[in-house]
Amino acid sequence: MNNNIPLRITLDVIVFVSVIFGWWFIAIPFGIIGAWVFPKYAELPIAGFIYDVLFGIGRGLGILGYAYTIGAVILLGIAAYMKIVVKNNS
Amino acid sequence: MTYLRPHNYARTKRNRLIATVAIGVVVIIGLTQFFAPYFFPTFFTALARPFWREEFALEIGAFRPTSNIIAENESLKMEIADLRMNYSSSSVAILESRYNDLLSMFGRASTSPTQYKLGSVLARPGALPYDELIIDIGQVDGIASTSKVYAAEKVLIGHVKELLAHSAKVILYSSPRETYDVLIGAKQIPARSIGRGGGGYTAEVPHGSLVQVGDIVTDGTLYGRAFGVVVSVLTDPSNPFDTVLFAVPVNIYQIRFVLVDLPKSNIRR
Repeated sequence: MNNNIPLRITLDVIVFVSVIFGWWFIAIPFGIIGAWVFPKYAELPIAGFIYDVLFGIGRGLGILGYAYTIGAVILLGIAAYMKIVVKNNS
Repeated sequence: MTYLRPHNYARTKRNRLIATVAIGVVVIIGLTQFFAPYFFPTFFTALARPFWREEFALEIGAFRPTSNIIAENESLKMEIADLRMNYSSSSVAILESRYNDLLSMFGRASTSPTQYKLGSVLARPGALPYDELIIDIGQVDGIASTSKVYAAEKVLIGHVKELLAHSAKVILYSSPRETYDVLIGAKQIPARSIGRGGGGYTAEVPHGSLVQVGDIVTDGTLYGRAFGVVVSVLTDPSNPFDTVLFAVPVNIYQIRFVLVDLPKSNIRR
């Protein structure tokens, strides 16, 4: 288990600052990195939810207003699954 | 010897706790979104707003530069000025003057100031049954029982029905069962208008005549005076005719003055 706290904090800052400014193209890659490096990277779905709250929900988009939240959960699930596959094969 | 791997109860318990907390958070967020849908947007927008700077957005190109907007504004202003020049009232006045010159050449000059008599409306629809007016000019003023009546801007609205010495009753063409031959639209489609009451007319045109809402209906004379404006076109595929509903372009309930045609013998030159 990776417990590199400074790295985690750095990734969190990058992701949340990107979310505040709407830079999804920065938040997603760094979020994937965090989901891969750290177990139970809950910051990713939280960042996705904050992005939806700021730019998605309440704009009349319906379920699409939660796209980044759903996407973040899916990415987290894929990263967890890939880690299991890689661990079993190594 | 085979040793069974001991079960990590602490780890299982921790995972269950994490899963329970995650599910609880999702449920709480869902309930909050359902009962107070603007709570989270308001909260997080208040947190993020201090970081949203217009200058920064301009620097990263999130907005179009001000210079582009200014240039587009100037371009639109020039386009408007060109349109105004091409379709200015002076252009229309030139065309109108040429049209009147053409009519004069063939002895069909347009109206002269003494061809009409101005009348004041004493009673209008609402106070009278059907679409009728009572005006304060009559036989002594030179109008005839066949005189046509116009509203402002020479809109043909009716004709004299009863003539007295000092007053007259005017029946509007929009009165029920009153008919008048008109031309509809830019293609001047001939039709017979039938009054519907309340300033409305109806007419039938062949299906596919391309009559549109907003088309002008004229009185069919050489001068093409306005008679109405199309407000609706009713189409039925099983009917070879379309029903055109149009209305007089003035408010007949607020008419104060009318112009009454003078017979040619009564026109003073």
